[in-house]
Amino acid sequence: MKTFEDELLTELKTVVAERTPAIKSRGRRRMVVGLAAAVTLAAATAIAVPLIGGEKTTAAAYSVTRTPEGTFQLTITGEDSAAVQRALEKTGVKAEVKYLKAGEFCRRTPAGQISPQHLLTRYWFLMNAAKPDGAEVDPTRFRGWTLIIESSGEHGRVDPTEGQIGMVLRLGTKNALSVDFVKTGSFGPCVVSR
Amino acid sequence: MAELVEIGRDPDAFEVFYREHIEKVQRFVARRVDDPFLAADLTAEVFLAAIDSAHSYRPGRGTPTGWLYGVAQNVVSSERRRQARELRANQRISGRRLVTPDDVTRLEDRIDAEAGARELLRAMDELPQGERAVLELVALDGISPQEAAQILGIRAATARVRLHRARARLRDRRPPPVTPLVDITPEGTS
Repeated sequence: MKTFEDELLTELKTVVAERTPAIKSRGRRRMVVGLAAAVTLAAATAIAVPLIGGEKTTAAAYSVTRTPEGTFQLTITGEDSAAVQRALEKTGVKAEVKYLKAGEFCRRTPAGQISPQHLLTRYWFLMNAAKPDGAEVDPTRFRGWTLIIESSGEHGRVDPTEGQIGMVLRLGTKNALSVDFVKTGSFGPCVVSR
Repeated sequence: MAELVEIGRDPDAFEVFYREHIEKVQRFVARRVDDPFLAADLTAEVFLAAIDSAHSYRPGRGTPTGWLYGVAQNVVSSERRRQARELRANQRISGRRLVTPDDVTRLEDRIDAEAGARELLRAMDELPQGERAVLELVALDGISPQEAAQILGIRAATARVRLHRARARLRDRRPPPVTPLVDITPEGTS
């Protein structure tokens, strides 16, 4: 009889195999998204997060920086979720950004929850969060997907002296910051719940 | 092994990586949760996250194992924040679905073996997150302060300072009450 470890290996290898065609077809353009996530709803305080260079287009609640290599970094330092969403979409990534109060989260309809087969890279940001220059994303890989950022509670606890954003994600149970790519059209609007 | 980035696109490369790290990941998880089904879910989630983010690995930032511990820590801390129901609804692979009765006994043995670590973890509950993160990796997982710094993306000197402060705080406080690590009870496992 196969053990749990054997069964898990089989399923994970299938996941890897299914990813391969999408990866082979991806282009060279890449985007770097970093969330400094000082999204305290009460105040928009700029936070010193190292940028990767290039032309800075906006420097208020958010900034988008483009590099000569065609990469992007988004730094969120404020409260204007619509502006953040527009900034992301300018880089070629469809996005939905929701800032909620502490303890709130989105229930998505009509399915109630996002279906697992429609969720692509739930942890891509978490994995890269400790990097001051953000997470690397290739927009061509995410065509047909929507980047959903849901942020609730207070996320302003960035240590500006270190430029460290990883700790932002280590929050208490009443706060959440989720960053997922979800198949466009597979989810309904955010219904705020507690 | 081949470059780590290959685990995200080559099933054979992934298998080598998986076999080398599965036990380490299971022990890492067992030091943090005491439910074999939740442990199975989290183990699956750690490797899924590794597959998704393998392209972001940079050798200069630490060893593949250290990187994977960083992935595991993010997954487990994320689970602490999210409701268990939401975690399972969003999971692409349900770890618990793969668990047989024979597996349960084996997974519980591993969890029992790490009981002391979980007790230590509970004692860290009131530490500031920054200090706790370093202490977890060093005291629970046996990782050097320098590598813990790499995993957390902070300077080695900062990690040492936080470690010192965390230990001082734990020395200064009374023994903690025994409380559940996670304030949620996954359905069907209580």
